[in-house]
Amino acid sequence: MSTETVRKLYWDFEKEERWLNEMAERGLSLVSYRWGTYEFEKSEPGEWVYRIQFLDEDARTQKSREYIDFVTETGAERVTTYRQWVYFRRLATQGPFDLFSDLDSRLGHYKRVSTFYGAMTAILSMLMVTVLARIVGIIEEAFGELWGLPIFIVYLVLVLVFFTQTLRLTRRVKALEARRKIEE
Amino acid sequence: MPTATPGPLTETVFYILLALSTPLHGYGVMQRVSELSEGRVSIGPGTLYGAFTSLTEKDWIVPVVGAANDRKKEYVLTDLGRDVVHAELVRLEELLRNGRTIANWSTR
Repeated sequence: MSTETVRKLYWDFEKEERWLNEMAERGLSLVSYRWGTYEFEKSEPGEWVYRIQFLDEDARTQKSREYIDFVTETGAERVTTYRQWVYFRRLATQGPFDLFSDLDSRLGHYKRVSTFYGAMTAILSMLMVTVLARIVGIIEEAFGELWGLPIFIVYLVLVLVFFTQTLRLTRRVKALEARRKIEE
Repeated sequence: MPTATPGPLTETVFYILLALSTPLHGYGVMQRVSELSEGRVSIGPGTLYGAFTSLTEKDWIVPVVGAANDRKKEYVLTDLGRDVVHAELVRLEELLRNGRTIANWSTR
């Protein structure tokens, strides 16, 4: 079994999906994922089509598992899950693979992701203003003053990432809502 | 007739209801709709799952009580669902009638 491991971090699930499908086109198909680590297996180029979905709840709950079972019964494969994210794939020979085929369900999905990123932005921002200063103080006391700034910078980057994703997704939702006024 | 006539149905919902005039499971509905539309409409599993949930809530479809170990849950139209489809057909006939009368310009 030849697997190849790639270390990468994606915040944008659509970019991630595009990348997974590019890899699949090249003959490397995702078989497993842990945070920051993607495991690929050699396959026929273009054999699989990948789709990523953000579920209503953690992938391990009963509701989520029922949904995942439903999707696999329609011919797709559950590749892996991560928290509320599920990675599906389907053989390219079965035709184009899309989880959502109308605007309403696509809108629903974008809104779920956008709400999540929005909440993360809000929570992290609030923590930044209240708790972070104290935590940095404690760490600086224990490990020295050099730690303060890097920690703060990493945290800020995190907040910015979530914020930009929220903005991007909100724009997507607005665009789809405009289309929805005319078509389905 | 339902007390509150629903507005126009989406194409996806209309085709799902039509397909469920006979009991079918998820994949069966996807295939049937693709057949009926000659490949034009292909319903995604995410969309279909959501539709099954909402249509069951509205009591337009109902899960079929099948064999105990039957993993694939089947759905079928209810009487209310049939009424909704009929009302929709009346609406679509009106659209088609008017469309054919007015938009009879020749196709390029």
